[in-house]
Amino acid sequence: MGVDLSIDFAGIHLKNPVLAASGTFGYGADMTDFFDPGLLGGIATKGISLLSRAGNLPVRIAETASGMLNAIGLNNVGLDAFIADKMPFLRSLDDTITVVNFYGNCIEDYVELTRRLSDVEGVDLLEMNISCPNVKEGGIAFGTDEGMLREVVSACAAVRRVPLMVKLSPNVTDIVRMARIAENAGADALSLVNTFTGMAVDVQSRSYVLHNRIGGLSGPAIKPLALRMVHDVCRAVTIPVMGMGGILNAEDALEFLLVGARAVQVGTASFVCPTAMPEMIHGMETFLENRGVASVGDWIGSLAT
Amino acid sequence: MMQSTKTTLLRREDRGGSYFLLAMDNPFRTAIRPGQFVMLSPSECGDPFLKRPYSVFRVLPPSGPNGKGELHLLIKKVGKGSAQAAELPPGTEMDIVGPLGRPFEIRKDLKTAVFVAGGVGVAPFIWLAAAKELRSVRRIALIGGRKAEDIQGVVDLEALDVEVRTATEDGSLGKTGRVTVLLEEILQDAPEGLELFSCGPEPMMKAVGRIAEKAGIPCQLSLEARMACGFGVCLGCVVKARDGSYVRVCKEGPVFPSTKLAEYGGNAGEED
Repeated sequence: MGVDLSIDFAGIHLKNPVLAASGTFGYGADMTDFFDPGLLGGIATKGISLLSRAGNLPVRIAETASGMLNAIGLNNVGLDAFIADKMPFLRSLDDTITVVNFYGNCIEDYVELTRRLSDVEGVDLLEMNISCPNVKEGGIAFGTDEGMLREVVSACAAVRRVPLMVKLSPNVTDIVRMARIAENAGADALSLVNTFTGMAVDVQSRSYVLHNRIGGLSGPAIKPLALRMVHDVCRAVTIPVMGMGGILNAEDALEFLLVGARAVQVGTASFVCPTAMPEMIHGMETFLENRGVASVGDWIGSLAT
Repeated sequence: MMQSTKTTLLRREDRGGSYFLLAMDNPFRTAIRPGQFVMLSPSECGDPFLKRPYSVFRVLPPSGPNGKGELHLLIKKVGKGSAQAAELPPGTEMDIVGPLGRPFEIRKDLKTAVFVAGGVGVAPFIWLAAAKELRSVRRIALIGGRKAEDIQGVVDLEALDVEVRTATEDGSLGKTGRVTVLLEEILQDAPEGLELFSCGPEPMMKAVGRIAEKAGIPCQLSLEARMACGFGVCLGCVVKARDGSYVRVCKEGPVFPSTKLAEYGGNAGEED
């Protein structure tokens, strides 16, 4: 019989609810040796800025219990090179949506990126990155300051011509409050969570492990934290939510859908197991079929309360 | 073509001190070139969470009609991952990704290949020394380490007719001092068609890069770095190139010409 894994997300058709998370899948073409990226519901690109960025000095990563810290610093090719060199491949994936994650130093940058990316053929959804913990300027301030969040989201919402998804930081006192502000300012969707700010130090050298001193924690270590936040936000807003945070397998993904996320992003899992996403899609299908659930839409938000 | 697959541990061979060799099924369809590496997970339960990069030490061709061939890795116990790998019983199934990275380049007019290795950094030179293109080339291995147990791979290299010279800092084997002392000696003879290939601790490779550039000799360095993925997407393993950009050790490397790297050779790193 088969299970219908397709969903509608902010007016966009997704053939399945599994997307590659920003910063973990390059620009889509880097992992074709392992599997056909066209199997995915969508791909969120590495965070794009107006100008290319070299990123932070090494050391950039540190392993932790059940996860890792990263301080990459939005190393990316910049908007023009992205459109010219990276979009053709993403566009060639017919029914896998392209989510462009973008980042600015100031509101004007965000607005220009929104305007220009809206016009690029093949860009289906914009993901506003206001939650990167690893860059000095702007960045996370937009995601942690209520006034700045309201301002940057409304400015971009006013010029967007494709749906605008705001990626929320978990490094706030009350993420539900930030979610409501983004919704009221005109966001079409939300994605959460970005990484949790963390630190690693080395007792041998008595120094910070990461050159940036702090990094973002990802991986299964953060899954229960992320799941609680996605759960709470899904109950507080009416716009669709894309959930993420430590999802490794089909069961993890189904948990996020169960609490109300309409789709999930998978990141760190791909580092450890490059074929995690296609296996997850298959596993979800098998699970739902065995449970007699005809459509993943029936599963979403079906948590017994 | 890279593959993410499984392999089965066949044997574990103690190599003295904290060194050991793992022999496993070679699960890869693509030939592994010298200098390439694999990402190996010694655990099923995800502790440690990330795979570990290991340079390929040797590949044995399939024997018998259904043989898969063998893949050998030389490993030094340094942390949790390698300590677990040292305890694995034969028959253990492990997740593996490979073959990864840019291999050593072997130029046509190469007459003398000098391998400069420190400790476990000798690993890629066994597979390099065995390369067909190097059969008619004079091959010299200079191996350095803190003490005798850090001098690895001598037997394996000599079996491939490589001239081996060793140096230890405590004088317990070979010349007393650093491996660069052996290198300076070689350079005095100035053999023709010379190229250096180096792998080992960072300060050693920086010194080798500097010596090579000063003498105007081409030099390829195989770098080590912390990496999460090993195939180019996490951007965690970058190193600074001389043009100011960052290059990925896992993708543009692990083998780089010394002249490409900002902190190896040239005037860089004199403070080391």
